[in-house]
Amino acid sequence: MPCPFPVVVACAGLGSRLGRNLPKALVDVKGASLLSRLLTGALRDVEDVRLVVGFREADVMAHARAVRNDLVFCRNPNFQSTTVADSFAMAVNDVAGPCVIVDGDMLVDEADFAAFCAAAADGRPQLGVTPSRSEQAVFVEMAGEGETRSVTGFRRNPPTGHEWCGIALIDRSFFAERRTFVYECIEPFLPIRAFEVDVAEIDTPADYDGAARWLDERAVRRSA
Amino acid sequence: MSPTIFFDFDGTITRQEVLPLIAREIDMEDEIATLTRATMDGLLDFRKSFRLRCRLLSQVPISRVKDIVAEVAFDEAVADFIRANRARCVVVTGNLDCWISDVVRDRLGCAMLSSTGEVEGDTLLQVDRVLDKGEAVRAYAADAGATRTVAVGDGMNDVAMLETVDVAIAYAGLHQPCSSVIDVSKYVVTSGEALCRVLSRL
Repeated sequence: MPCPFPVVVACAGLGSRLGRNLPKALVDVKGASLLSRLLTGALRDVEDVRLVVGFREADVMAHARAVRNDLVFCRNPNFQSTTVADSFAMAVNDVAGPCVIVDGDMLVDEADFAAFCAAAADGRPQLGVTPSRSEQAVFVEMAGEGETRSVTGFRRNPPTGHEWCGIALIDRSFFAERRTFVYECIEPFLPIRAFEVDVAEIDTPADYDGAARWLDERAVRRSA
Repeated sequence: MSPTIFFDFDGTITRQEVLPLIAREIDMEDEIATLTRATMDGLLDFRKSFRLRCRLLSQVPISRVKDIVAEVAFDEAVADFIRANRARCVVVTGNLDCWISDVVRDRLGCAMLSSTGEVEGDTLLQVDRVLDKGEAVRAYAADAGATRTVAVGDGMNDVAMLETVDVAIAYAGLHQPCSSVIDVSKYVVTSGEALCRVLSRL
């Protein structure tokens, strides 16, 4: 069953840590951009997809429209002085009800995302978690097992086995107060149920190489 | 509380521009298109251009214009949304009341803010007042006590309206919104269904 809630994807940033003069959404990984992989993969069956655009917005919009012509673009012209949290806040604040947020700088396992949305169909907050792999992770502390597992805290150090993967079902109350990082917006609402989604986030050049390997591993698995 | 939503008419609600349809009646499509193009390119002042175009089209009896406009194709997703939410939707059009009011009343059933024409019988004598969309929306919202306002448009004459509301949406229904419209908009939407999803979830 497709996600019944709007999905907001943050694509506004400069991606300065990656060191390219290109929005991360347009970075090519093994022949396709992150954005096109997202739109044709995990978000393929999502009806209401909203992209927050900023850096090179015209290019990102044109690129996205070549894939789908029913997208909603939310403009963040102040991308240079605002954060991903601000981008999400801009779009989520115009949705009366639950909303899925997705950081636009990663590869997302399609099946896991569909399962995430199915598990979140009741509209209660849910956080996506993934085995720790990225260079600048926000690690999660968790309690419980299986369907009762929940995120009870965030931390930068020391590492835990899982990190927040940049996917969450939340609502606009999470952005009532302005904070720098998205996890800081979520923190006051913990504990929140956790759901594992396999992703490969790309913040740094090392993450980029890891993402390419992530795709290769999937290709090998599919051909096996 | 649900927001009050202001909609441009030509190219936002309609899938056809109204003035060319009227111009076709008197074989003046090229002339009207040329004037429209010059206006969009900034070579002509909008108000003067609109008055001139209306003067040319005043050759068509008002009753005949109404018959033509009654058949104009709508973006049905947008029209359906307006009909379902008519108490809080307002058409804001630079077009003339004597030409447009019937089709808005009969096919949408919502309020309308428009330019006005001086009429004698079945003849348009001249344009009386060209609508300033920004002023009109501000005044309407104040009178109505609207706590949150939204506007949807695509053309240069929508910029003032888009600048004055809480949520501005550039809609690429019939035309790609010009850069001035996008620059003052929070959202850019290219499909009627997507537009209605945004409006329904505000």
